[in-house]
Amino acid sequence: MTERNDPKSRPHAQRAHFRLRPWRTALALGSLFAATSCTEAVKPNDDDIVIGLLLPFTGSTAGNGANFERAVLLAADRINAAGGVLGRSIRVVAADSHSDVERSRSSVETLIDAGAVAILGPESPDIALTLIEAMNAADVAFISPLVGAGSETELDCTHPWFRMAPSAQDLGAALAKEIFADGARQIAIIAADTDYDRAFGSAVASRFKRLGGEVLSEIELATRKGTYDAEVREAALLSPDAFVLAASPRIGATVANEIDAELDQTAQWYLSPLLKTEIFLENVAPRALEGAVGVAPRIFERGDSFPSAFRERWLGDEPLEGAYFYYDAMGLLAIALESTGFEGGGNPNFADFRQALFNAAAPPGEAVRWFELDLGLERLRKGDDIYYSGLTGPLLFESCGSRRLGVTERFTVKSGDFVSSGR
Amino acid sequence: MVRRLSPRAHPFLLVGLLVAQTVRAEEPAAPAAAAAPSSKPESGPNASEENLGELDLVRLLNVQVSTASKTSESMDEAPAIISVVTREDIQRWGYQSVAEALQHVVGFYLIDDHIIANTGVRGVTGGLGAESGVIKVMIDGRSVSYRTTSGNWLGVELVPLGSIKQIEIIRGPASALYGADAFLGVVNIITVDPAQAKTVEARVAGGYTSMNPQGRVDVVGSTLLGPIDVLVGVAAESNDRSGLDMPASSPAPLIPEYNSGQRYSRDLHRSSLVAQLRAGYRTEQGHLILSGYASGIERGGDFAQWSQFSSGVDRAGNAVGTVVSLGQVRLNADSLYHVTDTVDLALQGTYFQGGVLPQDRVEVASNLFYVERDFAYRGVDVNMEVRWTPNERFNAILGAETVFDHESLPNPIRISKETGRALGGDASSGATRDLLNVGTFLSANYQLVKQYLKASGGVRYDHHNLYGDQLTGRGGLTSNWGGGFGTKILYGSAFKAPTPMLLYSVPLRPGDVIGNENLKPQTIQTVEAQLSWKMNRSFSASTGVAYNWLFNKAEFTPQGLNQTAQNVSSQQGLSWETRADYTIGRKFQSYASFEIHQYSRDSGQEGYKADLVGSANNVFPNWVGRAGASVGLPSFFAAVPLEFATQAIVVGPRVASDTNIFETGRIYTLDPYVWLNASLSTRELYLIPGHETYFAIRVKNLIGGRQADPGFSGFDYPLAPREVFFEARHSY
Repeated sequence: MTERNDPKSRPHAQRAHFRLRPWRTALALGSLFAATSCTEAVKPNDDDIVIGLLLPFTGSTAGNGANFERAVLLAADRINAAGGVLGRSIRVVAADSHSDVERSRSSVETLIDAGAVAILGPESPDIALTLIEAMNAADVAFISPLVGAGSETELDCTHPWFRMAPSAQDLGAALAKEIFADGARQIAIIAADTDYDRAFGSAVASRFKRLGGEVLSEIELATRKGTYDAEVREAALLSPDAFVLAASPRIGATVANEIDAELDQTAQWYLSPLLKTEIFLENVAPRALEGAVGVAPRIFERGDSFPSAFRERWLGDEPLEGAYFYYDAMGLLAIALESTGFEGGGNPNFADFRQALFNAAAPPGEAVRWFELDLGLERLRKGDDIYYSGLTGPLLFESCGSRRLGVTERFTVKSGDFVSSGR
Repeated sequence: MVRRLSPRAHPFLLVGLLVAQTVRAEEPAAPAAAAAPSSKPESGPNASEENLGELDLVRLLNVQVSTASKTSESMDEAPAIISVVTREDIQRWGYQSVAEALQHVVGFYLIDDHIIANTGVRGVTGGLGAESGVIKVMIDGRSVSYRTTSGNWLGVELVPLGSIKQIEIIRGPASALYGADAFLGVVNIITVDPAQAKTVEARVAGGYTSMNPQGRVDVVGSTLLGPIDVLVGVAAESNDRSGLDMPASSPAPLIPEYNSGQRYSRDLHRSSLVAQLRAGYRTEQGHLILSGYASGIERGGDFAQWSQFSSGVDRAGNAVGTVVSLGQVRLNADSLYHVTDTVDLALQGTYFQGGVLPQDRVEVASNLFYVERDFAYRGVDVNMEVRWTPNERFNAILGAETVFDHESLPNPIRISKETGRALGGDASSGATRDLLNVGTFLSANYQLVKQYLKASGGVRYDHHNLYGDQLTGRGGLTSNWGGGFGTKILYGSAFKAPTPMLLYSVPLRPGDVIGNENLKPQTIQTVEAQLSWKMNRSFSASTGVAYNWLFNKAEFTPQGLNQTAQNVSSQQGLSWETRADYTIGRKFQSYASFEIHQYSRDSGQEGYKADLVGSANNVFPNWVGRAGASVGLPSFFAAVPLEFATQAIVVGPRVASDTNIFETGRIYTLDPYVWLNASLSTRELYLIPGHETYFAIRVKNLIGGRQADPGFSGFDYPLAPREVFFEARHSY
């Protein structure tokens, strides 16, 4: 103090004032860094009901996963805003399938360990078939919103695998009829080497032949290639009336681009339902797909209300076709879970829950639409009889889990967009 | 004596190519040429590099800068956290490019993607294809960015090293002075004064990069013709990093089928060229400086984002491989007129043009076709400033700037590998966009307590025809407390404009980046403080902290198969930077620095990917250490003193990019590494009396570190290989 009041000593005082005190400096900086590095962790509530989600966020068929996840999260938001189910919140835990069997198995184990009462996904029946056993063993319901089985006859129906899309056979047969009706008589089928795409391609071939058409070639695509020049050249040399393409959007885009590069004119394409996605169009050269035709499971709610809600929730992102099915899956799960009336911790009895899934979309009762989940849950709590009628139409399941009354629709690519004809 | 503002410098002229600007400003009473120090040089023409050893610390630390406030001032006074790389530094440490110099600057971290270096500053990086666009790079105050990507070329193609007087480097936002993209920092390259320029300075280098030959040439000549000064420069590089392995950490490289199983790169050639011309007319009433630059790059693309290891021969026997080849030209005019004793009027203009060169081709892993990119830009950037210096304690600048950019939008054209012709339907789309930004700013400095306390502040308003209004500001106090202590307390804000590439990109292959026309500017606000201490002529130290809040950060988010940039993320955190310098006359010079960056982020997304990457910062290292020393050695030959110099960077672990984490399915971290350079050079060797000749043997990445830096497309980037080369320089 004396020094500070002495004008002669002021320079020294100034120096002293700014002298570094290492320990204090370190303490202050340490506090700052500690404060900075502390981030608020969201602690999962053990009481939550966990819904597992297995999607291809990465890998050879990556692309749709995040969009489908958003549909599930949108539904979960609405369910939780309505008080959750069974008095508990829904928590969605997602894992990456990587479009790979081993990675999917590992991810499913993670989801089961997380306490999932049901798992939605994956993207292909090939992977799904390898997961059924683990899910059955863990009493976890298995719902595949967007794919049907490659081969229905090989399934063990004692443990239903709920599939919300028509089977590959049904869709393939439907497409074959469209091709024949359009006048094509010779086709080349290009399909990826997954069970679903193979089954789809075989179904097209089988029905097309029965209708009197000729299948010039069935060309298989390995999934992990960057180019398909040999396959494309083989197909192009055949000069068919039309090409049938069954693959993931990434592979499909590669093949469509390469066929376009190989031919002097725009090819006539017929597409599998998995290619009815904007991301396929966005990655193919302009006009290369003009006039392409396909069949896909029919979506009943074609208005803008769902896309609008989706855009509002997700920064303007548009729901893909599959997002409608994933939303429905989550809605169905919520109604089913609530209808079990289960009380207490843990997951409901599996047998009850499984039966509830069959019943959740089945009349009698009053239909609850996609935007009425809150109302439906409230009515269930009051003991009313309701059923979920989703964006994709009635969700009635056969005993083995396949969707009954799966309706398809024809779509066409016009001016770079999909146009549904409803035919 | 009235302190004068240093006009922001630049010029240009040009008709075919070339040139740069300069600084004038010797007369303390007369405004200096733009962006250049106005103080009288402390050593004359005969004392520049030759007297390198006599550059004591005090002089180095008192070097005049003009980038912080567009006013010539000492580093201590400058209202910014600023570093300077001098011409002597470039020589001492053997920097071969501005990028290499930035690697050794506190707060900077460069990812070398083997095409265009990607700069990050203080915990923040630009991500995929950012091309150092998070900083504003200028030559004599005029932006050098490649407009379509807002990228900055920092290699040999930027500017001949022989024409550099000093590089002024600001860490922190500076949009209040420089508008868009002065986001995380500013790098302003000041070209050499006419009075100090050599008649001719030539530098050649040759050696090996790994086992591949390399060479560089850098020649600058100048002359004075009465009031007219002319400077001509050219620099070129031929290098080849082929042979680098794909880092083992890479989760999902996309390697074409014809090179399936290949483990090393076959084409990482690097060709760079820049030509420079500057002509100045200077009188007591002002100056007119015309300058021009023409730059081109060509890079082998074995680590390009679209596919990797694409070089080779495909199954049909075609020579294939990605080659990135781009060019740009800038013509500048810089005029300054002393209206009165207290008012100067500066008018600067730049015409810029750039695009894809014919050699450019992109392999997308198809055996049937490759892609030719097609995009271009041209436009003008006009700046007018009124500089008012009513007395020696106060000055103010009122300025207005207009940038018009005409963009020919990206339009990939598929070329048949069989016929070499564009495939059906592919042709130039002809789509264009006109981007217009108008900005105005006010900046002022006031000596609150003469020689002890200075206040500085400014505000700038920008309006863009796409993304609307931006208001940025800055303010600060710089203090000299005596006893060698100085402090700075600063605040600044800035914005990073969305680039035409991010707005309008179209995929070159399935899964590639797709444009988002709704992208908005990213913004940052920074509070920073620095304490510096010069103990004596030998030792100085500084330490500082900066806290950054970054909003609307653009992240690549999935849009179907593709990635698109969206303003979804935010980031904040603290940086602590410390540096010390120790010099003993001409015999020993050294420095050491250490920095810690502790940042967290909110991805702004939900779901699997957000949960997977969490809130921890990624890509940028949490800590970096640097050190360098040069020491005079006994002569091996009579009268030929030698100097040994070495520099080291120790880079801490870096968390991988989000994309690579997604591909791996878990967070992974890249190993720390040590980057070590060394050189042995002559000093004061006069083969021709009065003109120094200089020889050096230099080694970059001496220990041959083979670690990786984070990549953004399913693979990581290997560090550049070891380089050994011989360098000769002569000035006349």
